[in-house]
Amino acid sequence: MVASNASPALEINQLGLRLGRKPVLHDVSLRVEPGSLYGLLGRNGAGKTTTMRAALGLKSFSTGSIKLFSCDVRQIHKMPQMLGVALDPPGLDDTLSVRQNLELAQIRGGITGGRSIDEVLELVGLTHRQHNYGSRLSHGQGRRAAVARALLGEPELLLLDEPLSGLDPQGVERMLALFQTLSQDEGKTVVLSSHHLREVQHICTHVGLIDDGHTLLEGETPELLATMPSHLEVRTSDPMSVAKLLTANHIADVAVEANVVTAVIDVEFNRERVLRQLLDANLPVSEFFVNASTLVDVFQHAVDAYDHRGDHV
Amino acid sequence: MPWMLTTTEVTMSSFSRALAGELYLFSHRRSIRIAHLAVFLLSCVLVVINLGLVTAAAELKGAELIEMSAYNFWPQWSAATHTCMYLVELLVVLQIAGALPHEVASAATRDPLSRRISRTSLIMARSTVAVLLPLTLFACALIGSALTAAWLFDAGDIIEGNQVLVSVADLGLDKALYKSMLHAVLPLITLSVIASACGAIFKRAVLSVGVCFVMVMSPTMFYSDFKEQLPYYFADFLPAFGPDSFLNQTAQFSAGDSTFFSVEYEEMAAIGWVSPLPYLAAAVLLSILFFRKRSL
Repeated sequence: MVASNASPALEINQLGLRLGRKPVLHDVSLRVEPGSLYGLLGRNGAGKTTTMRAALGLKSFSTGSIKLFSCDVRQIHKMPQMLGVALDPPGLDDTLSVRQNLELAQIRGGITGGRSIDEVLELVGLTHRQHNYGSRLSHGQGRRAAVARALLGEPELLLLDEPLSGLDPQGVERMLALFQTLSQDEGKTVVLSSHHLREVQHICTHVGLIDDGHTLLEGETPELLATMPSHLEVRTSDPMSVAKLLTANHIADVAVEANVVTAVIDVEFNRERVLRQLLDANLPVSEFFVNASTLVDVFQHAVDAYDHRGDHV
Repeated sequence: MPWMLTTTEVTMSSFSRALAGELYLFSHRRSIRIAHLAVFLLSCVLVVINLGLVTAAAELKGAELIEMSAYNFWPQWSAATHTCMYLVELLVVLQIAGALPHEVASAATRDPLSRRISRTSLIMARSTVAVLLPLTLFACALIGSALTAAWLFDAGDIIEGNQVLVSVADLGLDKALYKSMLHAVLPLITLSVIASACGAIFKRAVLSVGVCFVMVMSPTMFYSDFKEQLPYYFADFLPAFGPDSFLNQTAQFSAGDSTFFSVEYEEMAAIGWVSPLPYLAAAVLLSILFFRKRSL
C-alpha cells in the first residue's frame, strides 16, 4: 500500500543536467512514494542512468532539485536513512572477492544489524561464488553481487540500475520475486530501471518513462495500462454474425478480415458475458482471446507521440 | 505501517567509516600484499648479491685491495635499503596514484558515497591511509636487508688483523644511519599524499601515475642545471630518487666515502623536515577540491 500523503522517498523536479557542453537531461520530474516499486523506463541513452547517478549526488546538475526523504541530495551524506544502490556498472572492487566487497560495504556503511552477508548472498543466489574475485565474475554474477551489496543492512530506498541485465531466466525470476517481497512485505521503496517491460509490468506499482532527457509519463501501472486500448480477437467461420453481435454489445471499432473479427475493447469489457452470448447464439467460435494492453504499448505510444511532436529537435 | 521510516543509528562518523574502509582495503588488497613481499625479497636478495660481488671482487683483485668496510653489516644494510627504496618509491606511485582513477572508472567509488560518506571524508581517509603504504614498504626493506645483512656480515667495528680500522661507535655510523632513516619518513609521506592527489585530480590512471612520476624525477632531471636556482622540493629528499637523499649519503659514508656525509648534514636535515610540508598541505587541499567536483 502506498501512502500518498507521506513525503516522497525520491522526488526529482525539473532536473536539467549537462555532460560537458551537451545537455543530457532537460526536464526530468519523478515522484517515488515510500513503499512503492517504481520502474524507470526509457530507451537506450534516454537518461535513466544519469538520472539515477544525479539522484545519488554523483553528478552535479544545472537546474531543478532532487530530494531523498525530503533531504536535499547535496546533503545526502547527512540523511539518516540508509540507501541501497546497485548502479551500472556494478562497481565492485575487482581486487577483492565478492564476500570482501560486502564486508567493505558493511564497514563503510557502519552496518551492524539487518541483513547479513550470508543472507544477502543467499537471496541473490551467489553463495557459491562468494570467494570469487570481482574480476572473475560474469556480467550477471556482477549484477547479483551489486544487488546483494545494496541489500545489506536495512536500506529504506533501493536504487537499482538495470538489475536484470545479463541475468539468466531463473535469475530474473528470483530477482523479481525478491523486489516484490521487499516492496510488498517489508515496505521498502525500490526504484529499478529496466528494459524488461513485461517483467516490470508484472511487479512495478508505479512506472516513469524518460526519453531524450524528458519525463514523458509517470503514474501507477494499472492506470497507465488503462489508457491504452486492449483488443478482442475472435476466429470464426461466420465473421459477419459475430461482428454484428459485438456491435450490438457497444464494442467499438469492430473489423472483419477473412475469418477473424477484431475489436477495440475498454476496461469495462466483460469477456465472460460476451463469450456466453456468442455461445448462446450458436455461433461457430474456434478462438476467442483478449490482447490486453501492455507496458510495451504504453511505452511505444508515448515514444511515438514524442517523436512525432517534432518540437523537441 | 510497513513503509514508515526507521532512523538507522549512525554510530560512526562519515570520516571514521571511510577510514575503516580504506584500512580494510589496505589490509586485504592482493596487490599491496604482493608489493610488500616483493620489497622484502628484493632487500634480502640485494644483500646476497652484494656479498657475491664483494667476494668475486676480492678473488679478482686480491682481498687486501677491497675496502674492509665492504664486509661490514652497516654499509651493507644501508646500501641494500637505499637501493630497495627505488622499488618502494615506484610502487608507491603506481599503487596510490593509479588506484583512485581505476576505482572511479570501474564505479567502485559510488558505493561508499551512497553510504552517507561525504566526498571530503572519502578523499581524506584515502590520503590518510595512503601514508601507510610507503612506511610499511620502507619497514619491509629495512627488516629484510637488516636480517640478511646480520646473517651474512658482522655488525662490529671494522677490523684488519688485530687493529680497529673503523670504530662504528666512534664514527657514529649506527646513529647516522638511524637518523637518515628517520629523515626519509616525511618525504615518503609527502610522496604518498601527492600520489593520492594525482589520483583525485586526473581521470586516467596512466596520466596520474605519469605526472606523479615526473614530479618524483624532476629534481634528478634538473638537478645539475638548476640546482642553485630551484627551491628545495619534497622529492629532493626522497630516500632513493632524491638527489639529497640522506639514506644515500649515509650509505656512501658508511661504505668509507667521507665526502658524502658532510658537516652540513644537520642544516640539510632541518630543510628536509620543513620543505616537504607545503607540498603535503597543497596535495591534501587539491585532493579535496578536485574530488568534490569530480563526476562519478
